Amino acid sequence: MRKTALLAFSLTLLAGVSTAFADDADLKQSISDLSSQTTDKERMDQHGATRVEVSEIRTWLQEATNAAQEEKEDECRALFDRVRAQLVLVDELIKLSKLKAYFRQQQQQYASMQREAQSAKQRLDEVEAKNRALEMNQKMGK
Amino acid sequence: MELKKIAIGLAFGVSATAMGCGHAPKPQELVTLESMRQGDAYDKVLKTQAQLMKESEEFYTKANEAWEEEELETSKHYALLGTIKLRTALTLQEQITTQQQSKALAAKAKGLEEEYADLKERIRNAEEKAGLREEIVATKAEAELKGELANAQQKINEARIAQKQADSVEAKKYAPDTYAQLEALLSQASAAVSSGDAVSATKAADQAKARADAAYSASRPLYMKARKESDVKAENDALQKEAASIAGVTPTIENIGQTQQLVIPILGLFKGKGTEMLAEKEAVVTALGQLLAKHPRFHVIINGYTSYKVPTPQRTSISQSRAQTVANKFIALGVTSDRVAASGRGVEKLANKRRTSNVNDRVEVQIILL
Repeated sequence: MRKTALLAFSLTLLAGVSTAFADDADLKQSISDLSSQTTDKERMDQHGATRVEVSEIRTWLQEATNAAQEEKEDECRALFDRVRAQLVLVDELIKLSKLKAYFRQQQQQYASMQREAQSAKQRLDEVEAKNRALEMNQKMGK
Repeated sequence: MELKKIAIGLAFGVSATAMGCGHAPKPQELVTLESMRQGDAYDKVLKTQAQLMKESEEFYTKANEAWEEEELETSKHYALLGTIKLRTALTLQEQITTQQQSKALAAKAKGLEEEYADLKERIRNAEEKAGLREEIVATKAEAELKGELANAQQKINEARIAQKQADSVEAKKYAPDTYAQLEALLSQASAAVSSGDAVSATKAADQAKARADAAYSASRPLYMKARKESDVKAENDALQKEAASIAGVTPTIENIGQTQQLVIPILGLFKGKGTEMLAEKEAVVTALGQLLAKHPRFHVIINGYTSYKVPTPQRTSISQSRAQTVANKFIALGVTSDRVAASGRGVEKLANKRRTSNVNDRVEVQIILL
């Protein structure tokens, strides 16, 4: 009876240790995945629009690493939620920065077209004035 | 940046209030979220980004509850999540706004592009018009200059004819000074025509003609005295007789200025605008050339004419070419070039009243009698 109880206790302990190892590995894997996703986003951010947000993610991932080491799984997973939400925000901010860059480019092109149109109007006025002068001279028989 | 400032301000204010009530101060993150919820854009995204706003709202509630229970780390965590969701919603909304602005600008740009293309087309048309007008002005000026130069050339030809008359009385021998002036003025006139100075050319040509006439007048009495008048008469008579025997022409004696000339019109010698003699009339010209070659003391003036069929600007040049064609023929038959002068007279002295008649496309050979 005693032997049986000891065996049962040992198995329970083993299972507990094994689960703890599995959770630890899972947390590390999540940190690694989130870290590479962050690096990818950083690479995509050509205009540097999300430097602050990315820096925050890195801080939170460091906090998550520390929490994992201290086996604070709940704290770790809460930080993951925050990082994931922030990664979505980063994604949208990058899209926005691209849209704004494109819009700025459009504005510059439009301004350039306006200048060209203005100068074309001026040229037309000049040529028409010249035509009027030539016509008048022709009528006067010059 | 503006949001951050507001957030910091609010944080101080709210923290102070919270301390006064016995609660721990609200975490900075919660204060920030609260201030963001006061922004103008908040109400708009409530409708357009409903799901994200619902999530943000839930996190905000949880953050407040945690703060009430003095679980500050939990409150901070939910406040951060709420802020992230709200910012994501605002970012999505800004994306929509930017896309709309971009679309509107693209439409404006298209309109401007069309306006620009239209302007370019109008400029092209206006430039073409101006170009054509300038061409007309230039052509007119060129034609005027050509006309003036042609007139000057005509004056020079007249002066050369007068020179030939003077030559017929050996003016170079009997009036050498006047004759030298005549030659100098003729060179001057020709040079002026070459350089396009019609005014100077005309002036010099007029002066040259006056000198030629003066040389002729001064020389003739001396010349006549020097020659036996009977010999002269005999030679004149012989020439007239032989000229009258040429088929197809009717010579007449005319007094022109101080000279007596045998005038022989060759009617209808040319056709249209042509300057080549008609084959059927060439025999008359050959016979006259042979006659002049046989009598080397006579000088000859060939006047070319056109009918009204020839356009006005070309009449002088074509009539000049016609006279020159006949002169060349005479020279080819042995008449020395110093005895021959050619002049284009255009439509002067019509031979036929019907102005466009081919009869008027003629030459008139004037042999200056001795």
